[in-house]
Amino acid sequence: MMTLLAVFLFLIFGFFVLVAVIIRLNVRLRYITYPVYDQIVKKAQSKANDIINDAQTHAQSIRISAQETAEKIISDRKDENEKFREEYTKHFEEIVAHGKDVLTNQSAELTKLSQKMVDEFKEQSIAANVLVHKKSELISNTLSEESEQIKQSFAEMNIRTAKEQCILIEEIKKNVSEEIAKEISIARDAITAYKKERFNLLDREIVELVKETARIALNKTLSLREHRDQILIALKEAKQNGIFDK
Amino acid sequence: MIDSPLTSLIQCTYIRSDLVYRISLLGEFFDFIFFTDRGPFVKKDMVDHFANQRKETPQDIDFLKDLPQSFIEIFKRDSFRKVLDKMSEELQHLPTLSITAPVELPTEQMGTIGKWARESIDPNVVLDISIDETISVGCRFVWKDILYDFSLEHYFGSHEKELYTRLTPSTPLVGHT
Repeated sequence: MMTLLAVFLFLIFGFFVLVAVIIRLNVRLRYITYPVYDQIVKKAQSKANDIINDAQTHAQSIRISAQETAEKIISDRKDENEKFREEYTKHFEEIVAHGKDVLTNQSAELTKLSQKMVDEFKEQSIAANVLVHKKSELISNTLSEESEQIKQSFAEMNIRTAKEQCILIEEIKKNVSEEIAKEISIARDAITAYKKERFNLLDREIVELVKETARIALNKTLSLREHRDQILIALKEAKQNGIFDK
Repeated sequence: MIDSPLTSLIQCTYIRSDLVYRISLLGEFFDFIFFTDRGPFVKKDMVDHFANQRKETPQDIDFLKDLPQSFIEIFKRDSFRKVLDKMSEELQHLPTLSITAPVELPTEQMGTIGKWARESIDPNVVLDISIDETISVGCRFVWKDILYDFSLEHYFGSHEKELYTRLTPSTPLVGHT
């Protein structure tokens, strides 16, 4: 038992010593490894800078060569354009000159042709004028005859129309006066009926007024004794009619 | 209903509401007599004691004083409530003439009508009175669940033609041809 306890205590002590050593070693390791790490980083940094410088130099050279090539291409193109423009201008002038010649020839021919057509047209129009003149003389003669006939027939129509108009006016007058008379008679009948109805209404209202006045007056002027007597009269009348025998 | 105490009561009372009131008054009177050490029997001079104690109206005092001794002797201490209940029940079966009058008539006037009704219609008939000013004159009444109108309207209705004839042709109206 004592042995076990001693072993257990030794183990615990050993564990604590180990932990202290590890902690110390860690601290020392960090202390040792930090400059190594620093050196590695610096190396890597300088390598990276070299790579970047190389890349930049290379890029610059590529740019310079590209620029030279582009300038060359541009100057070649400019020369080509110039050449093309000169040829184009030359051809255009040739075409224009040719076109002028053709137009001149064509216009001379056209002038001849149009002159011919104008002469023919003049001849035709003179002939047509003569014909038209003849026709118009004929037409005016015919028109004057026709207009005379039309005037005559219009005159006859006027007379007939006037007669018919008179007859129509007379008829309308007669119809209108008949209608007016009818309307007047209807209106008179309506007024009479209305008057009668109003007077009947007035009569009824008068009777109702008299009844209401009688109601109010009798209620207020009769004495209690008279009221009693009226009730007795009513009961006696009911008895006479046999109401209480049922 | 022969020999019922209600018969004696209705001889001096014509109106149903008065009958109901008087039955309840009798109840109060007998309560007073039997339960205030006045003894098991009722005597007429005890009415004055009751009147002094309760300050009843003169009509009520006169009614109680006018009751015959034979009527009062019917009521005993242990049976008066039953008798009064029976009277109330019998009252429901009495023939009723419900009259609607134009004005409120005093008791004497209603008494005259009640007397005529007992003589001409039925000796046990009781009146049920209500008021309606619109009647103006006369009355309406209900007999055996049928309403009869003998008011001013009734007279107007029965003489309508005569009214119209008298009022309308002789009434001077401008423009009436």
